[in-house]
Amino acid sequence: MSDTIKQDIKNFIMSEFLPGENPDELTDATPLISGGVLDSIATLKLVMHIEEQYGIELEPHEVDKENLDTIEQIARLLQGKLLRRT
Amino acid sequence: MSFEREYEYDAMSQRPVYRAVTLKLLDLCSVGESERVVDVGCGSGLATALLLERCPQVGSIVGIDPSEHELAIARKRVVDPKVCFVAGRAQDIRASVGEVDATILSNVMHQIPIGERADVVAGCYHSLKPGGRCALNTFFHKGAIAQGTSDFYLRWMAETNAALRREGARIVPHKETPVALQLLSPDDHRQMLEQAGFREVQVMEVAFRYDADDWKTLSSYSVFIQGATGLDDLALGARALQTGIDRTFAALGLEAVARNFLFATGVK
Repeated sequence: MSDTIKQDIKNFIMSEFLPGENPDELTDATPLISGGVLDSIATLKLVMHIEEQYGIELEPHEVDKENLDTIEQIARLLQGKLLRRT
Repeated sequence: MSFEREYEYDAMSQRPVYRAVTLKLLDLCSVGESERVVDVGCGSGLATALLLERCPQVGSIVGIDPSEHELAIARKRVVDPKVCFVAGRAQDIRASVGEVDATILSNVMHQIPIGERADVVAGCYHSLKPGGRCALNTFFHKGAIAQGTSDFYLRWMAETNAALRREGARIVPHKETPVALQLLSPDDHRQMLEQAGFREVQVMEVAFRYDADDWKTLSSYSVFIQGATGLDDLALGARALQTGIDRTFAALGLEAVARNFLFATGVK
């Protein structure tokens, strides 16, 4: 489950924000926000993708670097929300 | 880009912080007695008005802007025999004015498609007399987000989207990067000026503190609303962005958020 989520997020980031870049350079630990890959608008675009794809809603206070700075963190947040939903 | 009545930049241009930004630009340009100046992309005429205040002995000022609506505001704001406002695009400056001593581009560059910015700077160069100066500034560049403020923007966009959601809407992601978000770095600006032929090029970033009312005023500007939310319903977008500011400032305990303006100058 976690690997599927990570791969989906990675695919989305590669296609939307890093087209033409080497996918091997985007790891689960690559800093997305603090590293300048995602600005605020791009982050929100990713959030909207996640919400649509997984049928969940992120609260504004969850949209921060602590939750969304790496694919690893995003997957952890998502899994927690999916677990709570079930 | 669109300029909508009641959603123009004029309200923002009257904020003290924006006046301070514009005065900084004018100081960098150091206009002298009897000199002829072009205010490229003059909008509602703030830079022209401040230049007249700052340098009453200026020879003449030509304000150029593509928006007749903004020009109408400028013509009411600045009534002076030394000043005239004409319709035109920044890209066409070379054909719009004769030889001048100074060209000012006050918060204009990010409104020009990235591929046309070098032409605008080159046009300024060709419009200047030898020794003439060009000064520009911009709210959008790589580096505009001051250190430690990215949380503010993230939260603001999330709160804005939540406010829209409560009204049955949501932020509409752009398919293509909006013109204002086609960002150049400080080095890109330096190279652009040097490649146009300017010497003594100086590029600097200066932080200005925007309080909640500043951000809320900016949130009532049509181009900003469309860029940030992707919405054509400007009233809805403005309302959501302003609610987002209130909630973000409260949640993060903010009094103001610093934003780096880029300033660049060169001499022909």
